[in-house]
Amino acid sequence: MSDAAIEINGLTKRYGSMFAVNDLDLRVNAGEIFGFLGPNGAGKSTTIRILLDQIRANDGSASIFGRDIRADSLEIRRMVGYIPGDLALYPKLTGKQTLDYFARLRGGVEKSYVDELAERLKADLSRKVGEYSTGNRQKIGLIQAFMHRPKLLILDEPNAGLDPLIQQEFHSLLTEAREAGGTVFLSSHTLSEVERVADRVGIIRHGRLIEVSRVDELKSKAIRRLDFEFVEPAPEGMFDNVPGIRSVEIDGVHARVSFDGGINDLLKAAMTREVANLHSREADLEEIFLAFYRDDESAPEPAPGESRKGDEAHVR
Amino acid sequence: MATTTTPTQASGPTIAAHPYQAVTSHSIRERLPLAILVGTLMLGMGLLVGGLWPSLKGTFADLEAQLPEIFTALLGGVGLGTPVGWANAELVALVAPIGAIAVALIATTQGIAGEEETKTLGVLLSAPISRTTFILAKATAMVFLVAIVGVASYLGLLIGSAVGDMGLSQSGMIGASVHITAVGIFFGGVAILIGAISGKRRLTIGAAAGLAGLSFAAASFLPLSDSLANGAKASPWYYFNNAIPLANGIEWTHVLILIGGGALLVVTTLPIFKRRDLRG
Repeated sequence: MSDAAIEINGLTKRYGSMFAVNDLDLRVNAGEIFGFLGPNGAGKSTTIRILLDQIRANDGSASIFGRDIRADSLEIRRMVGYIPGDLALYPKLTGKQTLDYFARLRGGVEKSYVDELAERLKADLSRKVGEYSTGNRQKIGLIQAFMHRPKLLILDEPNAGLDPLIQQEFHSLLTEAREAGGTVFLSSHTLSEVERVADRVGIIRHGRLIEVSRVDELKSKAIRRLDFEFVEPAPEGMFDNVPGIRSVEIDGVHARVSFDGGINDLLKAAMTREVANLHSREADLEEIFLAFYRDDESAPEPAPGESRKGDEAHVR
Repeated sequence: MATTTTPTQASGPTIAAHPYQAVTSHSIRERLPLAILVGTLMLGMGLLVGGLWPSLKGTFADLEAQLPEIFTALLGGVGLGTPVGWANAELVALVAPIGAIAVALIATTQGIAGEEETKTLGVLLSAPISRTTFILAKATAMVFLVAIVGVASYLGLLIGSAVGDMGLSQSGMIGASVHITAVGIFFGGVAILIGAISGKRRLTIGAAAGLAGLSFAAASFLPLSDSLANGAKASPWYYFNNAIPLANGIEWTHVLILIGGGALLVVTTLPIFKRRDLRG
């Protein structure tokens, strides 16, 4: 048995000439929480729905716990708990009836565990789903994803509408799932949701995976910022030849410099003047993520056959 | 805060998986009020048919002599002046099959294309249930709901016959009920095929209802022309009422054609639905 929970090789999904997922390679290790990040329309939900055999890839292959996503789909779905990004439930059923229905579909559900999940997420199961707020409906979706204690949780934008206390409880459920040997594939377009719980993150853009790394490694690649205060006004262009500089703002004695990579060359350039004060700031993950987004927006026109963000507006 | 149980293997008693039964019973429950409403309408119509017969039979006897043959042909060849002709015209020929077809179309359209459009299908098919099982469960639910209308039609005729002292035969009432159920199942099969291919509710209900209307028109009007009469046999409606089941009992060949046709449509659906990209 493979120690990969999810293994994706060259996965491609086209709609006409538009690529929703483009030659995607990804490996999610068993026992980790993997954050799958990208802006809306990047191809996250399409990838997930291919893994669940709800849509079919044009090219490539994927397996879950070593089983082929097409041939062994039923077996895979027994091991998976899933909440879709645009969760829809049956409005005429109560929360309890909804969970009973899904329990009979799945089997292996312990009623006492359903009650425990409902209590922890403060879900009122007595009312009809049609009367629920978005957050309460999401709680029912989360309970049905967790209730059979799946080996793999595939969660697409699971935090929608949850209040901060319930989010905290949800994060506890995720870490407990990992501690019990489970794997979590957590898709989101907001990094703050993933940053707290994920071991690794992958960033998808235009249907392509553009970055996979541990959260701490990602932070080490961060664009950092130094704010210098000089004794005398700083000349324009004093950092022009410093490698790794991303942006420079000079305003009299103040200089604000964004950079990645090593710091020595930057400090050498600054030390040619008398420095009165120096502030350093490490960018948080959100800034890194937004930098990927900005790169995304400034991306050049795609070559024929390549995808582009605007073309993917309908791809969830 | 509740005590926390780590998500390991379940330790207590668990709910067993019955995906086919779960989807079937859920689908029946969702549309049971509709089937009961239509069934109640059939009972009411039966009561009305029986209640009016003693007062109207004389009028119809006079009227029948004055009506052109074409009118009798449109009523399936049975004159209004007989109890069978009256009950056939008022309940069996049009009202009951429309009720059965409406229940079949709404149940299958909402149950298949509706689940896809409203996106409940996404979370449902994340459970270990195959697409084949899903379609078969929906088809089973449809048959059950249509059968409710069929049984209610039988009871409506039974009540009407008793109230109006019409003397309708048991074999005729059962025959009409079986033929009503069979035509409902056939058009339910049509809606399953269109809904599973398109995933669109409006298209499904529009196309299936349109086909039912065309089928009725073809079976009713083509026999009026000697040269076109054989063309009526291409219409499913022909197999519903051409043999006048209320008068002659079940015409098994016709019933098998309707139910077999419905089953064939469902079987045709399976590989197509299995291959499709689902939207919801």
